[in-house]
Amino acid sequence: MQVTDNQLKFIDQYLENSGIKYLDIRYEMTDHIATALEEKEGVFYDEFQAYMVKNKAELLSSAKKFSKAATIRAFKMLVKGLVKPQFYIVATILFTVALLLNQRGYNDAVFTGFTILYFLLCGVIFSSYVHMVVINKKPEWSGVNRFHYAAALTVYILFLAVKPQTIFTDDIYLFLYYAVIISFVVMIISSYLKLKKMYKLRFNE
Amino acid sequence: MKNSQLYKGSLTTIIMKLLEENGRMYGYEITQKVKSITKGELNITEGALYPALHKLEGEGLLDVEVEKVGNRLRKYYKLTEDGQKETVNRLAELEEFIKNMQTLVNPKINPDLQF
Repeated sequence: MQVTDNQLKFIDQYLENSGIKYLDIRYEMTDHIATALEEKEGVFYDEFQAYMVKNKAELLSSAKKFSKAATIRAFKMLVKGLVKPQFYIVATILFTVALLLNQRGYNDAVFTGFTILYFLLCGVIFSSYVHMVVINKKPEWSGVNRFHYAAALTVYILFLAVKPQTIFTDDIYLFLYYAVIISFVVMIISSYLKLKKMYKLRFNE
Repeated sequence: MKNSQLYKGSLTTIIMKLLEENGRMYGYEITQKVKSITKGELNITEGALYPALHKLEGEGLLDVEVEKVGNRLRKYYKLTEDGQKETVNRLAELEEFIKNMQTLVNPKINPDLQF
C-alpha cells in the first residue's frame, strides 16, 4: 500500500498524542512506521493498529532514550563551548576593557556595565526558555530544546548559587569573574542560535 | 532483538559495519538488511536501533542527512571520518572477541589451549 499525506499526518498526530513531542524524533518515527506499513497489503488503519500493538512500547522507549541522550549531548555541548577560542577572545576583550576603564577611574561604571550586561544576557536565556515552555508550547527540535533547557538551568543555578560580590573583595577578580561568565553566556546564546539554524537547514524549515 | 544479551554489545558495531558497506542508510533499511543477511534470525527492534544510532551520532561517529523521499522526510545515517576509523577498530575487537569465545566454547579447535 502507499501511505497518503493524510495517513502520514495521522501517524504523526498519534505519536504526538502518545507523548513524543519533538519534531525530529516524530519525523524519523513516522517515516519508519510508514515504510513498514507500505510493505503490507492490507487496509491502512488495520495494519497501523496491528503495528502499534506490536511496536508501540519499543517506539516510546526509544523516544525516551533519545530525549535523555539529547540532554546529555546538550550539557556536553555547553562544556565544549568552554574550550572554543571565541570564549577566550570575548573574555579577554571584556577584561581588558574593564581594566583600562578602571585605570582611568571609571570603576563604578565598569561594575554597573558588567552587572547590567550579566542580568540582561541571563534574562534573555531564562525568559526565552520560560516563554517557550509556558507560553508558546510550540514543538521544538530535540537538540535545540534540550540545549535551551541545559542553558537555562546552568544560568539559573549560576545566578542563584554564586554571589560574586561576597566571594571577590578585589575589583580585579570581580571584573575577571564577570568577563568569564558573560563570555560563557554569550557563547551559550551563539551555540543555541547555530544549533537552531542547523536543525532548520537539516529539516528544510 | 533475538538473544539480546549476547547481541546487545555488538549492535553498534553491526550498524557501523553495514554503513561502511552501504554508504548511507536509514533506520528501517538497517533493520531489514540485518534481517535479510541473517535470514530472519536477527531482528533489531526500534527500541534498540534508534538509541544506538543516536548514541553514535552524539559521539560524532555518524553524520546525518535528511532528504525528502516521496511525501515525507527521511533521515539517513553515514559514517564520519572518525566513524570510519572507529569501525576498523571495533570490527577488529569483535573478531578478536569471537575468536576468544570460540576458543573458550570449543577448545578442541585450538590445540594450544588444551591442558
